[in-house]
Amino acid sequence: MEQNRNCNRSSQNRCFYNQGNSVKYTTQPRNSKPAGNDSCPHPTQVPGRPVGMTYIPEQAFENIYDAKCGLMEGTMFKDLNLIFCGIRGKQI
Amino acid sequence: MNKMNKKQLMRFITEVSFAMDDIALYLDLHPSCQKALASYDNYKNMRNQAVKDYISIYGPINKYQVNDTNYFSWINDPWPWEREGNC
Repeated sequence: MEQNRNCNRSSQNRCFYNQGNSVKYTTQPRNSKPAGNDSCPHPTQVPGRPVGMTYIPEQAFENIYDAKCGLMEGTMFKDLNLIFCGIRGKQI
Repeated sequence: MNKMNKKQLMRFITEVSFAMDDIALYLDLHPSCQKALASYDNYKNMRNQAVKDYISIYGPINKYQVNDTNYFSWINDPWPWEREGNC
């Protein structure tokens, strides 16, 4: 279970600080239908941010791993330690 | 610090070096973030001390740290491509 959740990464010597908080990021299956009855987007207008542009939420200096765990996880930032699964639109 | 053996001390240096590298990436985008600066400084001090301890006990980590005027101690094992030389 754990091994599958972490894309077959070795479970040895890992910290699992993100256990329970991680999100499985996959691309949407190609034959899936959009939620709702129509496929038209319903953008949320944010003042000062025009549509058609992409925005990246600014990262705060918080939820920092200790050095030992950071090296094992490949990042010092828990918020960036996301589990990316799936190959070419297929879930594993 | 001095309770660590050679392998443990090298591992510790690798860990704090990675911490510095990753926090430096954050600081590239947020150069005046005091929390990040404090953390970077903390790891920098830990790394400096660990490297100093390692060199004094086990010899140079790189060729710029060779102090022995009689012998080029940089050639002592492990070599960088050996497992022992990389945590």
